[in-house]
Amino acid sequence: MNNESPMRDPQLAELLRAHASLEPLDDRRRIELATRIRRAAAAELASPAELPSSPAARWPAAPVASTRLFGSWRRPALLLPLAAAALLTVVVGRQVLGPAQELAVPPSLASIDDIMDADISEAEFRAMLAGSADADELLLLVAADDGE
Amino acid sequence: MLVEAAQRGDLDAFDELVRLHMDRAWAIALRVTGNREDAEDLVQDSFIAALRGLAGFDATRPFAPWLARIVFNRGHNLRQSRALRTGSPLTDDMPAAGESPLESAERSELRSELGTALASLPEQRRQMLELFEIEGFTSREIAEITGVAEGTVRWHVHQAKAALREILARHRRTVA
Repeated sequence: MNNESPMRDPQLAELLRAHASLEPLDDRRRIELATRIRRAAAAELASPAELPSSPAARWPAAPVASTRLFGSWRRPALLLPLAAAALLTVVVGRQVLGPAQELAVPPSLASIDDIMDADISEAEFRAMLAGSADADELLLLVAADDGE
Repeated sequence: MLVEAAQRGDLDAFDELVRLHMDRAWAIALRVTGNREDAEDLVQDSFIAALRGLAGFDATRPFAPWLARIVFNRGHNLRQSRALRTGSPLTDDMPAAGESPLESAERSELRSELGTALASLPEQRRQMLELFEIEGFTSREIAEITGVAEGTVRWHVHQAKAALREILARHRRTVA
């Protein structure tokens, strides 16, 4: 992984601009678009659409495939280490606590199968992982598992 | 605060937010959709979605990355829900001033090769490259927009540039 910020390449940028030269938003279009948005916003404020009921709906809708954590290659890449980490936690926990003690598992915590089968957004995924709501924590978990 | 005023339903405040963030939203929409008509629809749709979501938005956080993420995500959903209009890049293959017909042909060929190379890039990588090189976003900003790690953005940009530089080098060798 290249951790240094990539340098800008003026020549390449010029070529890219020439190739994909889509006009910038000129003043006339900007005004027209702003007027359209104001009109739609006024209508929206006059009769607001039904407010979203789920917490996930208040987040920007995640792209269906690109950032969904369960799409394509990311499903095994992310969930298998997660499953392994969960299993390791249970095994190590039992060894530490002894057979008589049970690990406290939040009842709301979804099973790995539930997560793998879910067709949900990143925000919903975070919410499902009660106690691991922060994506960075999840990544740390995966990284720690990969390092073992 | 504009955001707080807009949260209270102040249309003028929301209008000002639109004015302040229009260009950035436009740049992202254009890179995701590839044509002006869909980009305009996407920008409008995204601002209205932002208006609907303002009630749940933490006004102490910056508005721009949140809006950018909305534009990017809705653009991707739009791409998947229906075929976008065919983009019509404004390529100009007329000879530039002082350019010979041979130089013009070489430039046209280079553009063609570049177009092929860009088309061969994964969509996400191409968008990141364009946001970085054409629109001037930083890798951190692109990470916020796309929702992937900053290091991943750098890697994608690096890989895309490496692929395109190889084509440029090959072209220069051919011309020489």
